[in-house]
Amino acid sequence: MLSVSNTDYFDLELTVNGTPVRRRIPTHLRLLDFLREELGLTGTKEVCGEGECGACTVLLDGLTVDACLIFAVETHGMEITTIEGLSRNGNLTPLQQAFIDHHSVQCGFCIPGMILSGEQMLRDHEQLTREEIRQDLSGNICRCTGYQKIVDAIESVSRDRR
Amino acid sequence: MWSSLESIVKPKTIAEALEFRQTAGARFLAGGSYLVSEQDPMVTTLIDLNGLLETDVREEAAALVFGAGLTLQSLVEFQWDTPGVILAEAARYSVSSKNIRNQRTLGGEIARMRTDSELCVLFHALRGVLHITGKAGSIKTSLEDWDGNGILTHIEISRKTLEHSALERYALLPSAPAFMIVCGAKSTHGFNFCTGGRARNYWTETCAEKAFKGEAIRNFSEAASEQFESDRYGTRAYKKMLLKIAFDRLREKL
Repeated sequence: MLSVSNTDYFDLELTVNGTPVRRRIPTHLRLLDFLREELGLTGTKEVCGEGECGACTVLLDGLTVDACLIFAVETHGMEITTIEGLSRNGNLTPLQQAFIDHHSVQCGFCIPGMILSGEQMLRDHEQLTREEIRQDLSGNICRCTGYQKIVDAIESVSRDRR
Repeated sequence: MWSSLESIVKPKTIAEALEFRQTAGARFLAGGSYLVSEQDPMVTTLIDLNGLLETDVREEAAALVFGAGLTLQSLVEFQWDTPGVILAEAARYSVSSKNIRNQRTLGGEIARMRTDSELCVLFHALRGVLHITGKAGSIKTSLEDWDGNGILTHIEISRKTLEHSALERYALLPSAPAFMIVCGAKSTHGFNFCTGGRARNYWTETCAEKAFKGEAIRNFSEAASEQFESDRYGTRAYKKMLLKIAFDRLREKL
């Protein structure tokens, strides 16, 4: 039985952005703090800290989750993708490029979460309507853009691969 | 940082989990994402049930049995035939964020017994049966009768009742939490109803199919409206009117 406490530490093993990671961590460390503080992956943002805004969205075994609502120990043996893990050899993904092309970024704080949610929906659906994009983005809040250009970017990638 | 939290334990069996639950300040963690955000200072130990609970849906005779570990997003994405679509709809309405639906489980949602959860109200109307494992063994009980003790492992509903069920909700925006939820289902006993939303408690009622008209609907609207208060969503009289409209719509749908 795994039983850990905050006076002890837990030997966490997981894969982050394709790289195996082993760290001894305090048991009550949130996944968000683990990524930002322990691994230096600050692309995962903290805004509300209570699952309302989606700025801390990461892919956990391919599913979008809020890293502020998960303890790092819960991800033992799992695979995490953060915004830093999307591009390959400096090449942006089509969705990242589309965000630039469509001027979908203003302050940028929500964008890592938006892109990861967009990547998941593009992977899960052959084609996406604007309504489906809006529904699937329901866990990601943006206070700058009004969402139109974000939806435009995701829709364009979906449309271009037809 | 959750300052009161001292330990997270991961039992290998349900029996071990029940043993840990005896510890003062211990709470179950299984898709209860709200626990992490609330950071209740009375909680000192979290018992991680992830991995112990089933995550599938299976058909048993005339019933559908849901594993309590099923995420709400799985309910949304499940390849339902027509009758199950209402479950997907209720799951989507219950938690608007897809990220949270990927984390929150059906068991966690039911165990919390929120009146503003479309799924909880619907399962009440469907007269869902809960499979609970406690210290004395496993029992089956109704949502209304469960005292919250033990571990919810499965939720069972009649397939036929699900085929004849309907949901009405009232919210300021389609994506906003509903301030009123009204569900109905047709079973062998007649029509079952449950109301919820921003209400003091659930209101449930059963009536014969032929009796569900005119005066009965007025009486149900009156009785159910007692669970609601005048607030920024409207007066109690307004809500009583909405209830009547909802019951009339359910009558047409059922």
